[in-house]
Amino acid sequence: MPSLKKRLVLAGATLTTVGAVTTLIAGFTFGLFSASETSGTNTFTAGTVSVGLGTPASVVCTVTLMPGDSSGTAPIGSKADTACTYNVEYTGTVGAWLGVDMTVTNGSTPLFTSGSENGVQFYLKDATPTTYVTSTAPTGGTTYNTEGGVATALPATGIADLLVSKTAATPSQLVNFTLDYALPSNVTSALNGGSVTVTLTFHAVQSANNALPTDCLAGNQCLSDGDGSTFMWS
Amino acid sequence: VHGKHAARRGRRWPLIGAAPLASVAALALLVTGTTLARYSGSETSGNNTLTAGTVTLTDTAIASCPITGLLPNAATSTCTFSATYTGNASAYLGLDVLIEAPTVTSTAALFNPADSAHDLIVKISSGSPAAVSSYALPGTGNSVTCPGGLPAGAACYQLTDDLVSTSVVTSSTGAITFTVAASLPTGSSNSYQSGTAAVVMTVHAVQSKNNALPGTCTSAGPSCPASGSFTWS
Repeated sequence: MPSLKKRLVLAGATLTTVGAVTTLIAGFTFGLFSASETSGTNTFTAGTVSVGLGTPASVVCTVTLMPGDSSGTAPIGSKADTACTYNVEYTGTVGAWLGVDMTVTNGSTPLFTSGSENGVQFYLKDATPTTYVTSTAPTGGTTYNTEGGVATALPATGIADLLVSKTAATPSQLVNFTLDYALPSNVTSALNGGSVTVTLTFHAVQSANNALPTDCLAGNQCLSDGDGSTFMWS
Repeated sequence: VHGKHAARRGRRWPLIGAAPLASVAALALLVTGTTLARYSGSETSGNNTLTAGTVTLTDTAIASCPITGLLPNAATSTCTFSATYTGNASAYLGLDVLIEAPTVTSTAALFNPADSAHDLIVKISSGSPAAVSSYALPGTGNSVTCPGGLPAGAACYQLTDDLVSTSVVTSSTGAITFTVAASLPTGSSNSYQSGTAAVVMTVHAVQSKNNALPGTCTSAGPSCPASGSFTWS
């Protein structure tokens, strides 16, 4: 009897143990109430800085000039010829500084002489109006303003990085450049048959993290690293 | 004690390792700092080409007609030359007439406007496409200093800017022929005997655009001097 009793006790203990183990195992497989929340998709997209042609269509000049000839809004001359226009648009998606380069290339017989009234004169402005290049002919030649604002003879090959505005451009902003010209009536016959070609290059650079030098003004030249700043055009 | 030293050594390693890492990072920033590009874009216009027009005379724009061996019989000696305008801009043409006359005697040169009844008779004309029967000639008031090379005492007279045509010429106008006819009147005196002269003609052109003829220049032949806004150069 005692031995039967012991066996029964052992059997009960074994069952209890098995049950406990079973309970323990089953405890890992029971589902728990839970909940989760996922954030919106965080998307990082680089802004764009780009430029393109604007409206109305630009006028590319191919002009034969005689002394005394000039285009529409030139301050001297006949004002009878059509000015060259260059209409562009800032097509980027973020704020940007806009600049324009003016490249001058003389032909085999030069028609433009730096600092001289004896040759073709240029007048570059936009519709704002901001003046980039002008001339005091017939008493002086074509000039631009340096970053410090000093009127200086337009170099024989032109000038780069003339600032369009101290206010950063916004998407779809149009800039309408007008290039007027004049051949003063008192130029010498040495210019007979001379020629010159002018191209304008419109460019933009991000304004964020790229502060303008403090002495840059609209229409004037504005240089990378100008005024000791970290400003860069590219 | 050994354990504390070991622990200190163990903490020092990260510090020693961090210094080179920081240097590398700083160097990397320094290097990349100069090469970082800003977003940018550009657009270039077409070529705006400005060309000066040309005002050009080819062929013989300057000619000298020597006059020798004339007799007082009114027979004419002629000399011709042509000028062709080739500029690509329209122009007005002018004619300068210089008559050079070495003195024959101490008082007389073959061309002597003060003695028009006896001295050299000169007539300059041009044919189509700029027909002019007679260009104006220098007179007593047009005495000038003679060019170098002439004998001392030579007399020279010049009239400038005779208008060749009131119409503009272009490169398609073609050659214009000028004729100089010289003679001595039958009543000429012996004082002109052996006299010589030369008629030097210079044709010049000036742009017509932005350079309208003065209202006083209504016909070809007479001198048309610069006036008002009109100029020959």
